[in-house]
Amino acid sequence: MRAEKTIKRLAGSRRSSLFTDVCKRYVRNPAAVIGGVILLIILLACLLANFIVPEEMVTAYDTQAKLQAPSAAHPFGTDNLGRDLFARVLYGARISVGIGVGATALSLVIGAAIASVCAMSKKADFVIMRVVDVITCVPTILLALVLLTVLGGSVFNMVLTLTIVSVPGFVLRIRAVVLGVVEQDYVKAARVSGTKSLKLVLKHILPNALDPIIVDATMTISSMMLSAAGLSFIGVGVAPPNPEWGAMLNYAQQYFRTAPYMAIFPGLAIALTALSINLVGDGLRDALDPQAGK
Amino acid sequence: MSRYIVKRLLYMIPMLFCVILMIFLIMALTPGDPATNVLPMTTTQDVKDAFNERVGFSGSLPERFGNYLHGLLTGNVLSYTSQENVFTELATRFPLTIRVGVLAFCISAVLGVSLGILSAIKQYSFLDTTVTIFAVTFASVPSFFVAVLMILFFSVYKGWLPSFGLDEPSAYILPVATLVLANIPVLSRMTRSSMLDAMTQDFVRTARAKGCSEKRVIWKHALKNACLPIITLLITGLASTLGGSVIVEQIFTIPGVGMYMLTAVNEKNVPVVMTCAFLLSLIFMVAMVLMDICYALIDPKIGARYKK
Repeated sequence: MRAEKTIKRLAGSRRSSLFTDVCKRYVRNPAAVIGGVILLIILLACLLANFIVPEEMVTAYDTQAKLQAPSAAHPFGTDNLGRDLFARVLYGARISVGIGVGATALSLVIGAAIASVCAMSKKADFVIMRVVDVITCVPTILLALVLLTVLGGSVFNMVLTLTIVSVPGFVLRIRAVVLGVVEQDYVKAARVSGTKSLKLVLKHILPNALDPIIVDATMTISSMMLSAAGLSFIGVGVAPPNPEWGAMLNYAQQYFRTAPYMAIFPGLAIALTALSINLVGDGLRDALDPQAGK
Repeated sequence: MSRYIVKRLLYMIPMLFCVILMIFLIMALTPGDPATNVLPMTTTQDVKDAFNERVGFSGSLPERFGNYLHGLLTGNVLSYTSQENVFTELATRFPLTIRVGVLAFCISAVLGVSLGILSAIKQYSFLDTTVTIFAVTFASVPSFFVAVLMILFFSVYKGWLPSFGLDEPSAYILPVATLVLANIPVLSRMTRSSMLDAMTQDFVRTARAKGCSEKRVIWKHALKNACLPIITLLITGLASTLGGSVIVEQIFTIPGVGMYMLTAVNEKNVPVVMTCAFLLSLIFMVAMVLMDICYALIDPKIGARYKK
């Protein structure tokens, strides 16, 4: 009994020390800390948007106040319809962050599920890899364009499109790790002792295989966000009147001469969000694995 | 090796078939027919039927797919909207895309790879820090925002450079710069990390110990071992360059392949979309075969696998 307790305590203390180690290494990296603070502010802004500006402001337009430069009443100015750009950029954060996180999480889950099937059955693996081959050789942008026009431009369809386009890449990456894990002795032992396939995958294979992929996934959040903004920018993404940042930049193009701030604020918002996510991802990777990416 | 290449080339045929089948099926999910989309509202049903027949939109789904496939193989695909052969239309658009794309590709390849090597050799120097900060920043700023800012400054505010078309040589500067700024971060980071990785390997230490000059250590021993991932990036980059950047072509109103694709998708112009998908996938697959050949030439370990 006593020995068991000691082991538990030791194991517990080791885990906490690993965690504090990672935190210490993370805090020592100034870029990662700055990124973390910016990201925290952006996430808080997403959550508390309703307390800062009422949601009606996003679509409420004032014909008396079209294309106004930034002022005390409209910190980011107003657009061609007289809508407050501050409110639109603020609520746009929900859409962009939501698309980035949603598409990444969905691709990760689907990718992990498909990769596990690959690991469990050779026949399924063969078929799945051929399908992956076919999808990856179509240019991503063309596939995304076709899917979006067929599905129609909404936030959910954007998440769905980005997921379909990026699942093959996730499958390839997770599969490469999973195939290595399957060969490990503890998996063989669990299989021999009669563990059911589903439990084997969920309990023994995936937890050990996903570790190296999770940190990479934080970085894909920003690339998903950028792709979504790019697609909306060329007019096939999230449809108006949703305050999507890329779409806002697109309308702004017509008012370059008179109202450049219409383009600058949404653009800065995209860049700052993506930058903070990338800095946090870089910082996390360095902190978790001090050997990699020196 | 040649046997392997022939096998890979033959494997492309079923792959390409699947690609166009996939695109066809996705596009077939949307209702409507080309005649209703293109011709005026008052057109009679007979004229519409004749039009649909002519552009290959007739019969059941398998029949229609057969029509397109036949057209694709005989090089005779009609665009719904312009009634022109898709291949002729593409032939006028490819040169524009290739001129912008290849120019940008060459500049970013040279700059990206050399910056990556320099910052790996002089790790933690001022240059390395600058390149890293530049790379992290430009990896996060979307290319269309960079383009918008450059147009605001150089075209709207200063009036130095044109912001659309490709009529004069100076019009190339902004689109090429946009593509270069988007490509360099990826290339320089990848080059830097694979060079750093190679520089800590035993064979580099051995080379130094046996008295190789530092130049030889870097160029012959480290770079040759670090270059496989760099080549992967360069070849996939070149392949996607040929497809044109939809975003850049749209911002700078360049009538290249990217714009052609975007308009075709928006107009549900199935033959054009299918032909583009066919050609671009073909380019991508050929690039992959080229990459395998490069691997075998550079890395004798990989080359030995094909020798039988």
